[in-house]
Amino acid sequence: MDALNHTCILCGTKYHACDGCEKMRNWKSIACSISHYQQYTILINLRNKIFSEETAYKELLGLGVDVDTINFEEYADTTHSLIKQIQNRPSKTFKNKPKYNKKGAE
Amino acid sequence: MFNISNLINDKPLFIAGYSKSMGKCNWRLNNFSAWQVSADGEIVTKTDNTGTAVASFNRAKSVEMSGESTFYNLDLLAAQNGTKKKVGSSDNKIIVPAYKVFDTTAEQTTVVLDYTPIGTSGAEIKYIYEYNLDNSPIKEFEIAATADATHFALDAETKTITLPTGLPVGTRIGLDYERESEDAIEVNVSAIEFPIPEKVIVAIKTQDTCGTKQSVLFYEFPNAQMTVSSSVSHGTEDTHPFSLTCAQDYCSLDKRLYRVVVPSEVPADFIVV
Repeated sequence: MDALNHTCILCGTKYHACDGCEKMRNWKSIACSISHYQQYTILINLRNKIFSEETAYKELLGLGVDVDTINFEEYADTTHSLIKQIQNRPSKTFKNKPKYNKKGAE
Repeated sequence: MFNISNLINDKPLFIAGYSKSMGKCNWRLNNFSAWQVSADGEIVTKTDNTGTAVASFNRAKSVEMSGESTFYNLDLLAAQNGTKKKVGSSDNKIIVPAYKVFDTTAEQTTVVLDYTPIGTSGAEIKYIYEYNLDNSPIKEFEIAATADATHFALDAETKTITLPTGLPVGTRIGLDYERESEDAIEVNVSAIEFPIPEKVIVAIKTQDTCGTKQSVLFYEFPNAQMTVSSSVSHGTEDTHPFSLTCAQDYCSLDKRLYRVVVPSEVPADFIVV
């Protein structure tokens, strides 16, 4: 069995990738799948303010990942703050604005 | 008529290798020493039935030369390995190692690198390290989407590293990465490239025994090949050794190994070189 010599930057799973191929600089050196690499790049584009929360949400949705129903246990702790940032995107807050009664309680 | 037999060596002026097909200069050393050319051969002896030599014949003449470049020479290194020196440009950048070492200051959360790192997009630098005061790594931090106590984050475009959280003030951090530069040179030594035969010319400054006339003695090797085997060290006083095997010019009628030429005159500025 191949040694699990890498840790996925998105989910934290241990996986095998050829160290000799690292010079190719492809996604395998940091992510366990192409999907996780794509999700990671979306998150750092959000972090670097290249993507808005809305854009990041749509990009992730395009990969089949609905951030609003995401299971945090499947993602590394270092991604959680960015995922929460997307979940709290302004457009969602506006569309799903809570309705309050006269006492101020929902 | 110019006809002398004795010469006094002054100093070597240059040695240069030229493409046999194009005549293009591939490398040239203007500062070298300990140059020597040596010939070898075999003697085959015929003996009679008592073992007494009857006749001897010389066979298998071979010539080698060697010397030491005073300076570490990249063109020589390329020639020894059958390659060319690559000079960087805007559209032909060269990958260069880079590193940074710094001590964290109060409330420091980021550090800006000197150069833009290259690598897998999003993880151009995979690890940074906490260093001992002797700059040896004692703890590693891995890249992540955001920084925490055991991870750092990197925005390659702005060259900014977000440091791991909770580092005490004065923590020494070190990191290595790669960058691209158009102002760099490279010699790529490959296991599948080898030197090819060249025409090599060596010039030695000489004078006659009366001390009245300076001249230049030229060695011309029509079919010399750099020897791959070499050992280079980088002490300040160390030199860059080289050696060449000189084969005969097989397709010529005289099977020349080399020739020596001494003109009666050479330009004065040539001798000054």
